[in-house]
Amino acid sequence: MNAVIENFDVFIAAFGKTVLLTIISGVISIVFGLILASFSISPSKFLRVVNAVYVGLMRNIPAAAHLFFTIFVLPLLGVKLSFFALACIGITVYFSAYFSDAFRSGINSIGRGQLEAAQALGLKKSKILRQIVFPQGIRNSVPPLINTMIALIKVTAIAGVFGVTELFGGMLQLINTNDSAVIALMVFTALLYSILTIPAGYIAGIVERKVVFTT
Amino acid sequence: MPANEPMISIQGVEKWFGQFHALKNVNLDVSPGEVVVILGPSGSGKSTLCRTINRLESTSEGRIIIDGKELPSESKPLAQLRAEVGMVFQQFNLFSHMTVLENVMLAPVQVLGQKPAEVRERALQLLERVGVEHQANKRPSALSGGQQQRVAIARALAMKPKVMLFDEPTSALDPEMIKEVLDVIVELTGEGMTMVVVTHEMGFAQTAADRIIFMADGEIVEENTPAEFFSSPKTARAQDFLSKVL
Repeated sequence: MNAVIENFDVFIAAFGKTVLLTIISGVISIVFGLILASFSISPSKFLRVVNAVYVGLMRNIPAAAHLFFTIFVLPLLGVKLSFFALACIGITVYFSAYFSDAFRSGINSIGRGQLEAAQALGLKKSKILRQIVFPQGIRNSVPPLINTMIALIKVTAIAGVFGVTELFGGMLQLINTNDSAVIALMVFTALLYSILTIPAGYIAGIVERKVVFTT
Repeated sequence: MPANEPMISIQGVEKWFGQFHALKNVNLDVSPGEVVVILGPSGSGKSTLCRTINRLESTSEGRIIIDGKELPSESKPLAQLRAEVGMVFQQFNLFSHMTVLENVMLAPVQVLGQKPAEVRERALQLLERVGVEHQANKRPSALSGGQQQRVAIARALAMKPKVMLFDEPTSALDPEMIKEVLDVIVELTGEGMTMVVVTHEMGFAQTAADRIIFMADGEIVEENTPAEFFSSPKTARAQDFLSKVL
């Protein structure tokens, strides 16, 4: 327990880095995910194929392999960035595919009748997208988006193995110097992750009841 | 436009769903102000026919002309034509993320470019006319099926359509709500609206229709006046159908 108290400032700094890693890669992934999802409902077959190939490929490569590639291989190819920035890229490349699917499932859950009603009223395609498909689709996407975000928080831990001193990486360093307190350090680390993930799951439940429409 | 020109003219329409021949050489003219009720057993193609009139269902062959204009297949002129044809669905299909009032206001503002303040006033009048003015600011899911369908009728009427299509408007309703919806539709018949109604409500067909179209297996089997159709149908198929439903 002493090891935790003595290194509290190390934990706080590492926790902050986890939060930052989550926010930066989460926000960029969500934006890319939305763009990719709009490819999937595009009239252009080329864009639909781009989405299908990207999502199919990226989701089926392990997160650790993504991070290994961006953190160790990209610098060999001449990309000069910090480990933290490279980790953000790796997580974003991986999670854009998952966020794309979260949006796509939300959009696909819109009933056919909603679209037919809009067509029957004479709305043009672009207005059907703006007025009906996106407002309903994005609302329906919120629960899977939060679940994907929780998965992203947990994947940031992998960056700790590749030299980023976020929460997991910070813990590994503390364990090196306090090998008698391994269990206390790990339990406290788990607790800090839970502070992020458990409320997110709880919020997902509330949001699901409030914003998701069933038709 | 000559007075005798039909509002809707369906000429030699064929429809295939894969190997299934859903509509077989359908020909039908509907005059302005006429109320045509389409009856028939399920699977007879009556809903499909109704949906081809505003091209929610494409046709494999044949022509459909509304108010002198042939139904286009490109999306932009098609949207313009659909704006002139109101449609009421079996499942209401109100936009679930909008309030009742927003549902009624959407198309006049977004499609016709009318001023929201004016549309709002007219939308409230329409909601009052169908008896749901007190629900204007609620979401559709807070309304009963009968109320939702009356809102759907108001939403279609807000576009001041030339034609109203009703695709089994009461089939998804609990029995006690059927009358409140039919009453609204009957009221419209008195106002000279051109209507095509697909229904299983025989009482409604008998009193509200100017003409009955009886379909079976994708074909129009019999066209008749309601009085004749219900008292002495000409075809054996219609006699058989009526013996089962009446």
